[in-house]
Amino acid sequence: MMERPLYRVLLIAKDEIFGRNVKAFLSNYMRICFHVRLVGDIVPDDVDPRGYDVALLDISSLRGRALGVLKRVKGVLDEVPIIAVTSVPSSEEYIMKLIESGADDYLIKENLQLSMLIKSILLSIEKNRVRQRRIVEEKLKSILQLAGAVCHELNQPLQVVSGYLHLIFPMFERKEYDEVERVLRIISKQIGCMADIVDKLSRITSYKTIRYLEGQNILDIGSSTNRSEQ
Amino acid sequence: MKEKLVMVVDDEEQIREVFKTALESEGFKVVTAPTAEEALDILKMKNVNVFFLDLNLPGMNGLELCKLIRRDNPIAFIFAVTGYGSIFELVECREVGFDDYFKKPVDLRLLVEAAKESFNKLERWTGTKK
Repeated sequence: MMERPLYRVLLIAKDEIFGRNVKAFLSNYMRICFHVRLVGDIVPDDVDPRGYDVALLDISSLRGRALGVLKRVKGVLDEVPIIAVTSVPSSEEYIMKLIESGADDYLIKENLQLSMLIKSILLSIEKNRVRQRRIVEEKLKSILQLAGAVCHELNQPLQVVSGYLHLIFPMFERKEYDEVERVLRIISKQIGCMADIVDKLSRITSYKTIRYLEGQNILDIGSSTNRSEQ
Repeated sequence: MKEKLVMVVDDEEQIREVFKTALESEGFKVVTAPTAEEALDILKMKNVNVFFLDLNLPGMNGLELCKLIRRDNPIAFIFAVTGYGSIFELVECREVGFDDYFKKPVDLRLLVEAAKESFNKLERWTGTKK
């Protein structure tokens, strides 16, 4: 027998009858195993967002507070997709506000069917997984672009410093002290260049890239730095 | 082989200088250029067989430059020197005809060795060394 998939649902509902009914329906659903925790209209402090795959937020009784509560819940639950449940059909404008405030989907209480609820839960979880995967991919891409820029920028002065350090010892042996002094000045200047690069890195405030080689971009450290703070 | 002439192409003046100093101290003649375009101009007048090319050059990049050098001089030894290397870049370098690939900061002894080996092979191939 195949094991049923397990999803952990945080059900935030001030309306106790609605909350208990939804919990009972989901908990007894045969094909999928739902672990449901029912809480009131606020998220308790002991809730760990990593412990949930989806949140159902009943905003039907919140009236004017609904968007504010939704934003607060989103702030706490962060990466958990939220399905808002309203009492009656809402205007498109209001639905947009719900989405902007952090809802991934919305359902209407008055004609809510179990199949519709489950479909919304599964869809929200899947959409969220895809979104999180994209976020991770984007983060990795940005990190690689930053790493590329750091390598590219720092390796230039590093090359000069390491190269001249290699050359300076024979100069000492030949007692070419003027030449040694010239090289030390070059090394000192290159160390200053490295410090400038590190300083720019600490002041990155925007994201701009430049083409490195064919098909590759690296972060444009110079253009991504807040010059006004220099 | 009369003159062991090496070309260094890098947009950073200090890098051109340090490579030049290291190679000259080992008896090589060195010409340098800050861009691919200037390198090509020099090549119209000079016969160079060993090259160290930075990949990320302003204007034409090191990959394009390597292709052009390789087209006109199939036996040349062309080495890539890059500030930011990846496995993909290495593959591209091999595809366009680079003989080897160095990541900055590169130990100058490696560059000198690469130049020495290149001239040894060139002398063997052209019959100037038994």
